Amino acid sequence: MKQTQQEVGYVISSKGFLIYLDGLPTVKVNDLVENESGGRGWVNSLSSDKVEVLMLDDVKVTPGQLFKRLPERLGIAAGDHLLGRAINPLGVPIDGRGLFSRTKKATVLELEQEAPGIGARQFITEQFTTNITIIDSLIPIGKGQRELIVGDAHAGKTAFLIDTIVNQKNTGTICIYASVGKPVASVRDLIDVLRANKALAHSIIIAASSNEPAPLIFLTPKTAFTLAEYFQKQGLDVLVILDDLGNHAKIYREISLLGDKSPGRESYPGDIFYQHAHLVERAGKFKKEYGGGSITALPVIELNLTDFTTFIPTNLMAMTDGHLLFRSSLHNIGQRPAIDISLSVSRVGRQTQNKLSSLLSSRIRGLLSQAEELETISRFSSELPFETQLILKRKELIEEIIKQPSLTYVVKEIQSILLALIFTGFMADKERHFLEKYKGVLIEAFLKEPSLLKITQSVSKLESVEELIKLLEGARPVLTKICQ
Amino acid sequence: MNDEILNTITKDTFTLTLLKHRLRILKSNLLKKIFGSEAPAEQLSVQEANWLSSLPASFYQKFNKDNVYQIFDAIETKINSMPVLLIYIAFEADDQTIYQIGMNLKKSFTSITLFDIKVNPALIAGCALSFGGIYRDYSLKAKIEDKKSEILESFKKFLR
Repeated sequence: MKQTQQEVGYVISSKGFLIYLDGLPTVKVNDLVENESGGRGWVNSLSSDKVEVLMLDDVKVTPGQLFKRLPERLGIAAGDHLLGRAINPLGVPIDGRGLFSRTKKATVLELEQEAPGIGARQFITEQFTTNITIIDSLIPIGKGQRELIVGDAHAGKTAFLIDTIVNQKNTGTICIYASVGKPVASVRDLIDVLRANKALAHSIIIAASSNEPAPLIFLTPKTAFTLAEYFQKQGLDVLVILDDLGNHAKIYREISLLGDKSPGRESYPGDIFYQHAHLVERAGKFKKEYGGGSITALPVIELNLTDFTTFIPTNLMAMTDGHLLFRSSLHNIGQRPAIDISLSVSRVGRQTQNKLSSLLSSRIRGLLSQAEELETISRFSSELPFETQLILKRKELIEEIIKQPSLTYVVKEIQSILLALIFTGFMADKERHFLEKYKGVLIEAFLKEPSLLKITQSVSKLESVEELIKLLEGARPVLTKICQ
Repeated sequence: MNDEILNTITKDTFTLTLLKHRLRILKSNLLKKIFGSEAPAEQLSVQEANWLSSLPASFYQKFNKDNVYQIFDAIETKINSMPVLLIYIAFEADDQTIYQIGMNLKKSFTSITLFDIKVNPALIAGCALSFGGIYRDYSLKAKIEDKKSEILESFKKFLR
């Protein structure tokens, strides 16, 4: 008689979502097992006498229960069919729009992948344009860069991330948003906002909400990177947002403590740095032989800004190429996005800017730091020299220019023009409220008014800030007329 | 000596469940004999009493007040590490059937001394075996699943 052979294991003990099995003689880490009621588990580690399995489904497991090894390993069916959809880390749709068609071709990719080595990578030379002035001009991000988004609660981090995704419309960039252990309601809101802004078509949302089993939440960023690699290998640029890795670290701590791993600093296991570094190093710009695309990663971490030297944030700062620091205090006074420029860094982005943007950025940064010093002195003096007054006024104007409400975008050339405009005679006698009133008018004029449009079109060819200022000085009569 | 004791017990004890049960009654019987007790003796069934009396006198002489606990501890540890063949069948097997299976196994295999029966009516008929983490399904259910498409094709012939 023909027989079917399968590997099985029997439950020795179980602790919450963690179970130990006896049997499964040739099982490997990341294999899947399933019990008779369909509860799946994922092999996390092996010892000489037992197999440690993390349950992915919320089912009751009792000692002696039989688990069969599944033919497939821990992976996801990647494909274009995922675009515009929200899925859980195992690829099951969670947006209520039905199951995926079985006829569509899908490649099953394992979630655990080694990050490509140095030989597969390329120098980051292309700018990742967000169409957000403060980022593109002052803290630029490169395609393939890992930029940490750090900030306290209610500082507008998610709004900024949504803007970044929405502004990737028509750029060909695929956006993958991994929502790690967030409430179900916030995941729904995110889907709705992206759909309302027609940004869902180029996005994939991977979400494991806070009420799902911890091992499933733990897998969310891995799924995000696996899908990102799928698109990157097709030569596409991918943006991966991991929101947030603080939750991820807490979930891993829960799993590790349950598995009797020795707790280290703040009770996190010793390999938490490895876990996160292993993830974010999957980002980068890759050579043509390796697909040619790029994966830009924006890991997020929420923290208390009175002390950002805690374990996980400092780990993440160490393994990323810079960070954007969001402050709720700035958000409360109306700065959007509420990024603290003086404490934000981009270690790679500067090399991707064109010469003009780079020079302009240095000049603006210099002016801002100069103004900061002068502001302290100005508090003790009633009358300030003209030079000082000018610097302080320019600082105010810059602050007004970099203010950008949610769900709006400013093209790169206009960003440079607006920032250069501060150094022109046209703005010399203008105050902050002028920009508040006319910023929108100016942006539109530089995109539509024929004489100004010429300047906008020539911005990318300019080599110095002075050249741009000269062009803008020439357009002074037109600008004055527009702003009457 | 422990192996000798275990071999004597497993001579006609084939299932893990029965082995554990017989060890328990043997232990309580021996403790009562060696240390005595005011408590009334456990009520044994006829089969249990017959089995105890079937054990030779030399077997009981191996136990004394100094080693009885150690022997049972060692045997229990040994049993826990012994490979057990799990037999999944679709019906509740009676003692006679279990005895026959046990005798057959003893004749055919040297590495398998213990087995356990698990009832799974979903198998329909036949059996499935599990040993050392390998599960082999010889049941009718597996056969039907294997020939699913052929069976469906055959049924289609009768559809109008």
